[in-house]
Amino acid sequence: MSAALVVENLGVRYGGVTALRDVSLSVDEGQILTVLGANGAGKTSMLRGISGLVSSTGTVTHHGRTLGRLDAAARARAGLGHVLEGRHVFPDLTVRENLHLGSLLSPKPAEGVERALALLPELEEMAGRKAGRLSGGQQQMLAIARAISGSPSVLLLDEPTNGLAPMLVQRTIDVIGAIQELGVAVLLVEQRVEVAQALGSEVLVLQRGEVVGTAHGTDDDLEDRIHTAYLA
Amino acid sequence: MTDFINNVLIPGAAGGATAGLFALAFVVMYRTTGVLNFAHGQLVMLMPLGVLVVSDLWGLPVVLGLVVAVLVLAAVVLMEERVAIRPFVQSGHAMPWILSTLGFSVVLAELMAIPYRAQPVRFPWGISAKAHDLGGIQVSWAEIAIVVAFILLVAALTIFDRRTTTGLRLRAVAQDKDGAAAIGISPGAASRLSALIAGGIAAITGLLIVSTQLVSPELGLTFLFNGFVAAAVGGLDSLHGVIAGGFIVGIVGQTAATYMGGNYVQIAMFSVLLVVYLTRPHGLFGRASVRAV
Ligand SMILES: Nc1ncnc2c1ncn2[C@@H]1O[C@H](COP(=O)(O)OP(=O)(O)OP(=O)(O)O)[C@@H](O)[C@H]1O
Ligand SMILES: [Mg+2]
Repeated sequence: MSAALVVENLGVRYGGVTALRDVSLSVDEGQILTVLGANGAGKTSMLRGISGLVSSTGTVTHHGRTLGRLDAAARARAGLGHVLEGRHVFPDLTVRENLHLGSLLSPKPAEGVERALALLPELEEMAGRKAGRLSGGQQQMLAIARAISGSPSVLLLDEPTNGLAPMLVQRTIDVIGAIQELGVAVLLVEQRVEVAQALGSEVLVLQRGEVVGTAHGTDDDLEDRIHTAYLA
Repeated sequence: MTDFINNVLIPGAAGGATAGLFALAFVVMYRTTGVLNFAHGQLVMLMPLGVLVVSDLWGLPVVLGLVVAVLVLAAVVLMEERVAIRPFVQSGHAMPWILSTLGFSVVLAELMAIPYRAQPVRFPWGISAKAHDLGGIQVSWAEIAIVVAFILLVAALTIFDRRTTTGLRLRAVAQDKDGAAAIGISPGAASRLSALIAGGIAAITGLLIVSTQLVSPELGLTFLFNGFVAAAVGGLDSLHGVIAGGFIVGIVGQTAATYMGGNYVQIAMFSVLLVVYLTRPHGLFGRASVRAV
């Protein structure tokens, strides 16, 4: 297996505030890496640094290619998908139009849309509805489908289960598993330990902008260790 | 009734189309960048001035003048986008871009004053503003042209917006800049394209308003203000909203001019703006709040 995404010494600062310091990680094709952290730990800053939505220090390498000073749009075109915190679907465009725009990153857009709908067939019946009219859970599914329709090789997911009903949390976990099976490298950021457990993924624990530990989703004591980290 | 048509409706519609054309350019730029371009008045005058310089001062064919003016306008618009607009996109503050676009307009006006030493000049190739009598109704070709051009331009841009992938991309940027960047739509490309479209609107506006305006590097603030009011009424991010916004501004302004006197036009405009601020801060069709400006 080759590493699809390698991050070395990533740092993010907002003016004088350091949100992320010296984070290094790597995700292989078809692998899920879950980064767990409490509110304000720096999870979103890490993903936005990787995808280029905020400027960062350190290096991000995608399939051996250093992304350097590429902006977010160029990184997306290179195959780095990012499902943003807060969904960020286009509210006045229909579900179909949202997917169509996402699929333009794909070498074969029509196939990209097909792949996304195969993953999330429930979107099909809402195809003509404006994204802004969907429920939060439906918007989350659309945001994931829009990213997948672009055929990314790496997918960054920012708290996709946030605010979802328990049934939808399970659905999201299943969808992430299916995305992994497509061979996509998934970097997932979460507050819920049970998501990492259900996926059985590798885990990094982020605290105040720094990685403070590694674990595995199948570890028996994962929950205790995370809670200790959250409370620290 | 004929009096009302001649004194209010027709001039109101023509004035409304003018305000609407300014509003259209504002909206095109604002929705992808969050910037209102205070140099738009100069951009509007650049086209007729360019034609005058090439064809009147240099004595070359008018067609050549049009070509040169279009190229100069495109270059200026792209330069403005690069130095005075893009650096301030999404900065979250209005002050920097107010100063940068205003500064750009001052520089442009000074450069544009050079050929005719700041003297206003008549544009000899404009559409005739002479009134024709159609069964008691007085209307000129210039009035008809500006109203028709305005409506056609809004229709064309609306179709472009909804039916083409490029239009869809611009709408995506307008609705969610981070969401658009995350799927590979470059905000820089969107703002450049918006600037070129706004430049095209400026070119058409310029060639139409010189029927009744002298060409000068300073196109009064009233044009910008009425355009802004029209955009605010329709919704700062709504293309088709400028039809309603433009004609409301035109008719209200002309009603005030006819029944109260010319001094009351701007008071009426300002009242329209206040009513919008207080009752519908998103305008009739928009999402973006004018309070943000
Ligand atoms: N745009 C910003 N400007 C200034 N500080 C910011 C900005 N965004 C985040 N921060 C700060 O950086 C730190 C990390 O925030 P970040 O949003 O990355 O955390 P998070 O782990 O994603 O939190 P959450 O679970 O609430 O989403 C916090 O202290 C936050 O206040
Ligand atoms: Mg976050």
